[in-house]
Amino acid sequence: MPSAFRADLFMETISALISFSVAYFAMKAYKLTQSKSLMHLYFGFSVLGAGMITRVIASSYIALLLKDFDPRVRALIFTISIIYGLMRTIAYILFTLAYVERARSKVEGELATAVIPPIIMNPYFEFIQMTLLIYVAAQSAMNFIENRGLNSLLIFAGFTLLLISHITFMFSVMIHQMYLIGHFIQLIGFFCMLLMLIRVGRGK
Amino acid sequence: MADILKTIRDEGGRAGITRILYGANLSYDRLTRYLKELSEAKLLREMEESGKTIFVLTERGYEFLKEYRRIKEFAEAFGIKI
Repeated sequence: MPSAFRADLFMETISALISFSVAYFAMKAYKLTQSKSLMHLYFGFSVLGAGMITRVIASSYIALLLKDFDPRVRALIFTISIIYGLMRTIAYILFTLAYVERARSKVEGELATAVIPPIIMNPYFEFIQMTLLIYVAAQSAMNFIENRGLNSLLIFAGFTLLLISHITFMFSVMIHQMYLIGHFIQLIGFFCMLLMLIRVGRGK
Repeated sequence: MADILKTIRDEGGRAGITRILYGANLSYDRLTRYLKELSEAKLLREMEESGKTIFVLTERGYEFLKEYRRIKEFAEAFGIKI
């Protein structure tokens, strides 16, 4: 399990870095356009990245404490799971807001149209996050259906894979291996977003 | 404002006010205000040519349009119209 755990930290770190890259691009876009939806994306991806980094740092720290059988571990895991869960939920609420803005303008437009040690995860937050992501993924799917662009497909795939990763995390309560699989799926989701950023940066 | 810059670029990087007015689809008052702002931001340069005022897209203006296109593609990937 320890090697699997290190892999999860590695994948989460990469995911966080990609999340910060998307946030940076969204921030540049927001500064230029003053679009509220872009501001929500900027804050959403920033909070998401910060949440993931927080979990990576906390998990590494907890792993060190575990070696000394420190009794504070349980309380620390609980605290971090709440902080991480809240940050991730805030991020998804911000994504939802970005798409609510989109949906609103669209309507107007249309009218006019363990011992498995430091697995830091809270099933209640996972459920809320999944609900928010269903909405976000559905909106990105609608966007892809409308414009059929590869960049839109990558964003749709990214959010859908994030949703699947949360479903996988839920199952990790029963099957621990699912935790690592969830992180892998999440990483692939972020890679889709990274690919979109590279394409946009190159002007394709 | 991006429409103003795009119109000038599509005209070969220089255009008179009538052309811009037609391409950007703005009222005269708004257009003159935006042209002033774009000139102040050094995205455009105002010139006199044969007694007529023309607006020339600067290097910075071309760079701005490239960046704007990237940002537009980024926003559209998320389904956000700008």
